[in-house]
Amino acid sequence: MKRGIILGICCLLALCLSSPNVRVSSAADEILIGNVSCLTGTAAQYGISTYEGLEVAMEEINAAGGILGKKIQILKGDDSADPRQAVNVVQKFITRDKVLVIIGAELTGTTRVTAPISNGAQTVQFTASATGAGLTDNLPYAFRNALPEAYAIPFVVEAAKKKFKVGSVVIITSYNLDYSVDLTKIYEKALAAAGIKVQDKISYAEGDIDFSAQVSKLKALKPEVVVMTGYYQESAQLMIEMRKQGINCPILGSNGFNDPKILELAGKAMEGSVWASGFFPDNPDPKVRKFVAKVQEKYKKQPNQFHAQAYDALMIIAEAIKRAGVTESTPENRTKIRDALAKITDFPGVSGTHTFKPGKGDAEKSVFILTLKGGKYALLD
Amino acid sequence: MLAQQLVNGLTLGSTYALVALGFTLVFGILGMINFAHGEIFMLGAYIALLLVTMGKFSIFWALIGGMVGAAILGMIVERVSFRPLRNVSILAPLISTIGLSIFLRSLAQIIFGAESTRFPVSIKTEFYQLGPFQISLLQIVILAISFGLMAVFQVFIKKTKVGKAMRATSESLFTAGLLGIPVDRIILLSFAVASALGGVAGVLVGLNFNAVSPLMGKMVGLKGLTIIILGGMGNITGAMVGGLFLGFVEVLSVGYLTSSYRDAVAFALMFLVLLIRPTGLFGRVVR
Repeated sequence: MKRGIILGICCLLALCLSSPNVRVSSAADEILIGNVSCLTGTAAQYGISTYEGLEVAMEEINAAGGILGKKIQILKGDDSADPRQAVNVVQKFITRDKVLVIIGAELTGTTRVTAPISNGAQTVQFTASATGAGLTDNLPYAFRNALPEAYAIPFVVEAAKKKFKVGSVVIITSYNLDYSVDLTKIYEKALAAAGIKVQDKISYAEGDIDFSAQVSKLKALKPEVVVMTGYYQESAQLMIEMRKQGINCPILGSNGFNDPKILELAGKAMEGSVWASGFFPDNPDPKVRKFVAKVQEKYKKQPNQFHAQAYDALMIIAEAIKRAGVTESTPENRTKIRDALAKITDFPGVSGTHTFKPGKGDAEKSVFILTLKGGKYALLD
Repeated sequence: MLAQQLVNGLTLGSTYALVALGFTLVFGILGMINFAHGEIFMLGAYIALLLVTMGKFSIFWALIGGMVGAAILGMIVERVSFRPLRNVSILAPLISTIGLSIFLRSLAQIIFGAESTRFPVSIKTEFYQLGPFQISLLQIVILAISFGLMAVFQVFIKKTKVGKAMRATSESLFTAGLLGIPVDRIILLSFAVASALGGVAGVLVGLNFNAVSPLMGKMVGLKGLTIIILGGMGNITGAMVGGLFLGFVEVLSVGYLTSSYRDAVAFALMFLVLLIRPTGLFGRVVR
């Protein structure tokens, strides 16, 4: 008897745990778009921001009557920032949910392993935030509107050279994070091109909580400028520890610096950092003002680059679906959508104007060089 | 730089030692590993964080709260995943605490969010110059609390009646029971003490590195485990020395080699120690 009850409870629990992924509505009257993203784990903030951006775009599109008379529905798939889990999510989207388009993943590592799978299944995968090198190369179905670091970093290095007259830098890398290792290489190339020396390199590991040893080592080097290549959590802790130990030099950062969470964690320690962004929230453009107001109203927070690029991604995809004129998920239709997407030029978004050049999945767009001034994001003068 | 790195190593090592003490106490008494100890460490930090942010308590009371909260959690862990399985097999409680650890970590992610949160209080970050050593007030506080607790714990286990009962229980559950020691209660109490130490360590780490996250217990738990293997399973002095040893080795290998070698160096050294002394630094040969 008792055993039966326990067994029953277990079954019930198992059901509860598995149900969020079960699709309730039929695909016939809706356009299904899968969003593979990191909603939990160390980079969760990126995934949450991205999803919120998508939701704003979805509501806007659906309120205007949807695409070709059908409403959009976004399916969430959490990959916990783990490439293995991301593969499972994408395979489920393709084989079970039969989504029309996949948006994601957020991270370079998870996108690198999933984009080839979508490509093989003739499904467009559009990442709005992964910035690692070469993610869309040789994959005709892979697209992105994030600023690839390789595209943005040279702008940061040039701006820093002009502003700080820097002769050498120290680079800090998370040695077991492929995003950080990639970014270090990109920085090295851009620095070499600008004639700036790399004085030394310092590394840490993902999940580290103590950075005092690295920072003491950094202090002994007396750096002119420090380059940080990790995610926001560790970068924020490094900044705090640096200021604590009395290193006050400027910091050059990356895409991760766009998340307000880093500012919240690091506070004053972030002052004077310089990085590139595809989105500037104080942009006077009315489109941007409207978008910022919407996000603030709905989520009570300032939108960041991830919100903006995700919003633009769904808007661009909606445009491509409209132009292709198909909504049913068949290989032929998905290829039509891909072809329409590849031909989009001068698409006005909240994160700048997007143009896809023939044979390239990376959108070309404008770069903003930002800094933190008096606790606020500002354009670097 | 060496002086600075030694201070860093001492601070890191003393928090490791606190975590390892909790591990070793439970192992010493039950001969079993509590894999959820890292999560107790993390939850201790969160309890303190909540007390400071929501309850507007001072950091002192938050520290006490983190300690008491962790102790209560530790007792729950004992009741839920140790006691029902104590006589089943050696493996069952081991697996159940691994499960509990995953459960607690995920629960923390759901409740507190996956990202890390900052402690709003910051004890002044100014540094004092003591000869070649540069040490912050916070580091002094951490060292004082860690070493203070280690001293209190030593006295507790060696001199008090309850401490003696714990040691007797660790010799033999059965004999201790025959001699009239309330074994169940002593075990529960050991979990409370062990978890309190873990909770304090969590608060201190959260304060020092200014970040509390649901994943912070994972690596610390693993390290605590390695420390007690190094120090000798169940040995209290071994846990303290092992913790400090690991702290120094890690910090120095980051300072003088590179971070990528840190864990490799730390674990290679442990391997060497175990080759020479298979029972660990302070372990004794059992039976």
